[in-house]
Amino acid sequence: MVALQYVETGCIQQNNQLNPDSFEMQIYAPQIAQRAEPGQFVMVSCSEVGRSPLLRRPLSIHDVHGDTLTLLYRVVGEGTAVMAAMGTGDPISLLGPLGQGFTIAETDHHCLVGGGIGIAPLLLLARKIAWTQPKAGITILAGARNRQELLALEKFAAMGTLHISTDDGSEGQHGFVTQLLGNMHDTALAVYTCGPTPMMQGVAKLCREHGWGCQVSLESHMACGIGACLGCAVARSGIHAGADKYVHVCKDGPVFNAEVIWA
Amino acid sequence: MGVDLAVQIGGLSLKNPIMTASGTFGYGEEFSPFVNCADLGAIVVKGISLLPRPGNPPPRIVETQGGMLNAIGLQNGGVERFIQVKIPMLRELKAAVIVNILGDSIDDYAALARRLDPLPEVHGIEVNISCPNVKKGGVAFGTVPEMAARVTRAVKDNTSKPVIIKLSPNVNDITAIALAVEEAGADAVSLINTLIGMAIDVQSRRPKLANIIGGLSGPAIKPVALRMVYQVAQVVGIPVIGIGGINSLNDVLEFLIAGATAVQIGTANFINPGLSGELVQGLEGYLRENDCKLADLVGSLQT
Repeated sequence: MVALQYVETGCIQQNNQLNPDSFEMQIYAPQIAQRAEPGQFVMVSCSEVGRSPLLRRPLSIHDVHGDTLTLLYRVVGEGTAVMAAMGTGDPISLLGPLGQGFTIAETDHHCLVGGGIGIAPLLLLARKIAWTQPKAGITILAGARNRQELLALEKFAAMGTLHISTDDGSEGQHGFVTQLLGNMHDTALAVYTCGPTPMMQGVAKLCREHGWGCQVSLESHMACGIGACLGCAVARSGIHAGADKYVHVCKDGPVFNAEVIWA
Repeated sequence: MGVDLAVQIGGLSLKNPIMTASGTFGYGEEFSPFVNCADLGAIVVKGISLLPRPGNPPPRIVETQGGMLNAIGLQNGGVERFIQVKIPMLRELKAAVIVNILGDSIDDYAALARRLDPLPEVHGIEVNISCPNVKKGGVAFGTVPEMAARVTRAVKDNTSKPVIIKLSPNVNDITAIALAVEEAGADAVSLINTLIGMAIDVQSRRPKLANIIGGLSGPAIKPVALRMVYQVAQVVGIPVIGIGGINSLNDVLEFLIAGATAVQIGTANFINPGLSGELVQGLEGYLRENDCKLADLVGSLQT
């Protein structure tokens, strides 16, 4: 079966700066928007083919409304800097929707744990949980270095119970988001997380201790996004021989069951 | 209508000269949402070895100015898994399939050629001679003319399929290697493989690739590739397949004018997965509008 993936030239509807280095870009791109699932990503072209920067940049899909998708991104390098300079009406080439997204667990209580810009893919997930399991509880734990780096709080607050932590104590609980997760006491919690690797490892460890299911959304440099370049390899937990030693973030992920990566 | 794009690569008849480069096109099926593989001259699949290889630890790729470095480490599932899993899918794609092979010894190459020889889905074999010869202290087969010739003979002796030798640019004189493999019976040469390079993160003073060094590809290498294709096409009688930074019709035409009979699209597949198919149409349009034949272009450089 041929996967439903498209190279689509979208039209930027808005590109709003949210804090000194974070932006929210809304793009009219019906082919991709209509098929995007929570946790999937797009490869964004930040230049003409062959111009600098050369490769597309992988960005998770933050939100979808009808034919429009939203990307929440932080400027970290050349590609995202080009994106930040784009404006309403500009065309932008997208490749997507790509990868294996979140699998929504059958449970009464879902807990979404985001660190910094890693909060991005969790909004569409919250929407799909609310839509498919209207009776289930949704708790969102949002952590960031400081108040300024907390993103999309109003949208998350509308989706469920929101708890906040900051490393410097400028908003919410002073400390790491993993401490908020440690305060959860449900027995049948389904946890979904995206953020810095040490944070996700901490979340995965807590989940293992509590027997909670845990899905992690990984990030990697990648060239193609469709499983051809094999550049986005991540070692699997445990001992695996030959070509099974690594999984690939673009095709096997970006969302994995935590134990596939960290035993 | 009526534009003839067909080319002959040794005993291999291709419907057009646009191919995809090994390692940049997976096993074809990854690209089926974006291009009809049967419309291409051929697809060259990701390199395979006798036994599975895990590949290198990450990070494996990094972008550089106008190009990218990769150190994937020849990750592949081995020839038996290829035959079991990939061949049935390739059959469905109805594409002309060229299988890229790699080994640590002459015997590896011979065994791979023998194993692939009876498969009707395999239209040709491309030999990656950039790998280190484990038995001979790790010197790459592709850097010494006599060793390159021995690999070529070993493959030719074990297959009836057309054999393309993929040349490394990381040598003193690429024409000497090309002449040696032609003499040893190669049906064609393809060039260039990646140029060895590296990149450093200044803040951490660490290499950006876990493998420290990697292969440079993309538009940055096109002038070097074009020069080598030109030089090799001057001295060999067998077809030359041009590879290196091609991402437009103009790039394709440059390689043909330099002496390439066909070309392979590599890194550009990552950026526009439909590019190879677009280039077939572009080339057809160019020949029609300019009322010329492919053969009029190949090697037509005016000096």
